[in-house]
Amino acid sequence: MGRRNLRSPITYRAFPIFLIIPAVALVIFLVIFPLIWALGLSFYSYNALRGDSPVFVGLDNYSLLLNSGEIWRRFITTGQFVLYAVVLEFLVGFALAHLFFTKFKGRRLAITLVTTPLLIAPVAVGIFFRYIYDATFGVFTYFVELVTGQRIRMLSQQPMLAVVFMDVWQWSPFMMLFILAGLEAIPKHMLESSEIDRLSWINKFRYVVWPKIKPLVALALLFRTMDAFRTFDTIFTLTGGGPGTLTEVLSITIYRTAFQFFRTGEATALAFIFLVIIILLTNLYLRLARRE
Amino acid sequence: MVSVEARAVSKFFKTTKALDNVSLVVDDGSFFCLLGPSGSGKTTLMRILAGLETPSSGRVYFGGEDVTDLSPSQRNIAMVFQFPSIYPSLNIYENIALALRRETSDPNEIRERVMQVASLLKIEEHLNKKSHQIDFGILQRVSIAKAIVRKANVYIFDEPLSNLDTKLRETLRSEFQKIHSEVRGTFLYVTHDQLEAMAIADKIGILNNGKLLQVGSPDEIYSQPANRFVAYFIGSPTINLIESEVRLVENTVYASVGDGYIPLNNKALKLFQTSREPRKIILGIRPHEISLSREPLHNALPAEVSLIESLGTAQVIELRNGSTVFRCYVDGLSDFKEKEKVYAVFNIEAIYAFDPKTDERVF
Repeated sequence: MGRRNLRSPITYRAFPIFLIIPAVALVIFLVIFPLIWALGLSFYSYNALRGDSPVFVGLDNYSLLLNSGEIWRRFITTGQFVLYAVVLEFLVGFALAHLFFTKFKGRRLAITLVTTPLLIAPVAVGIFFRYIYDATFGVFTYFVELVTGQRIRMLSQQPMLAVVFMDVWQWSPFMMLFILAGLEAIPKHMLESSEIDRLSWINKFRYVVWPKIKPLVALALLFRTMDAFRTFDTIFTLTGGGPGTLTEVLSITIYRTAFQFFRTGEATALAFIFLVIIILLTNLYLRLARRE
Repeated sequence: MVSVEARAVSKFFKTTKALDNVSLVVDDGSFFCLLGPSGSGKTTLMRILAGLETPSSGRVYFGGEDVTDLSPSQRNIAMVFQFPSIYPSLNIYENIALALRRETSDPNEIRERVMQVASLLKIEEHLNKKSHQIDFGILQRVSIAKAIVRKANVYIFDEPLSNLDTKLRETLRSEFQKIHSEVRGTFLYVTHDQLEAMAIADKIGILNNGKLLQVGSPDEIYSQPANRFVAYFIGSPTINLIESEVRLVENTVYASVGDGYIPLNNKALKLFQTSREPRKIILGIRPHEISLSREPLHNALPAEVSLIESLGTAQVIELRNGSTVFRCYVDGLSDFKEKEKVYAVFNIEAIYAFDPKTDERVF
């Protein structure tokens, strides 16, 4: 029966469209429509709690945000978090990848264990780390005291480092997987050839390893930067942005503006500024990646 | 340059035996070919000699010195792989020069030596290009240049031509002897292509199933094959291997071919003189050593033409007598037809016999 139907030109053309309609509809109603709605809302003064009718204020929300020192400080906090976290994740992931590139017994099991943080729900990670950093019985505190002799209260003394370490713990394996994939893609004869050519390890890295892992490193950095930029749940559960606003990254500011202060219009405007930054960053990376 | 020696080398991969007690000497300055079908162990042996693999047992000597535990770079070998090993971020000149960095820092000497090998391999015009700008055949030339620019103890070539197309392979193959005489080093060349080995090597070592079957000059290997496999593997078209029975009749030894008989020479007579009983052997004769005639010549074997394969300037004619099929090589174009009855004359001085049990050559 199907054969006959497929042959008829109308069904032949309509069938694929019919197949993608559900997915497209879902995207339109759940992503594109809310996005446009939010863009509209960002030009209004609106409070979702009070339910008053929105008042059109033009670009006021944007100018208010961009002129507020508060917001710029949040930008800097976010930037610091992203920079520290991504750089550390790269270094740790790079080291782990090189470790796992050497063949040893139990390598597969070790890779599985090392990548498990990726599978843990972010909220759970935040709560774990609250205990890990706990000033009286936290594991981290205990080991730091063993080494330095100082009892450190991470969440109040070094809150930024605390959230960065947590992110590094969860996401370094992601970096590692990308770099490891790059290392595995190096043809065996190239590695052997560099050994026979008696290259120094630095030249071996420069001429053989780096050209192969570079595109993957770029991709991993892109993913991690975008993702770190919008980190919310882990930080929110660990510190709630505090103490004070020391770890309040932009995503938390947006959340607070929208759901604690209920300045809905302002929050959507901030969300759009945020979106534009992420799009710019992505383009920057893609351009860098393409230039290679 | 040094001589290379393997003494009783064996290699196991888990439970499979890749090399079985191989001993081999490659003379200082010679061009030695390791030849064998895939899976024969030739690559494993080469990798052990290069230091890329450690033997399960046995030792490796360079110029009499035990190097078994030394790395490839400590052994000071140069090597060309099956695929070009060019560093993509450097241009061709820099690639070749990089291989020299450990030998000299004198820029003039580097320049001179790079230019020398570049002209030997005819890649001067590509020196400023990067690897992605030139095609595979030239990249493989660069790989060779990169290896021979060095003053290495041994130069190793791991099937360097096997990924090139036929034309390129033939040109590069013909240049190899010139390269060897210019470099004057010990060359160890691995290939599965018997034509390649025959064309370029001073000496060939033939491996099969992890065993070294025979070592000799191309001529020796061709004309004095040690066993059935060597006879079969060397020579094109392939040697005829005919199951046969020899018997002594009135002071002449005859061997059966299909339903007929051909006489054998005096060597066979000496060997089979004393045996009264017919004895089974494998008869080997190269297609070139069989000629055809329409006349029933003395001692010729009647046969029927079953297939004619034209090679352009020659023909390979498949013949049948009873259930036995054999092929003969005819220069020029004959006018034999399929199904035609002909007489095959075997050059009895060029007949080999192999023991059907041990596969060793009897004569």
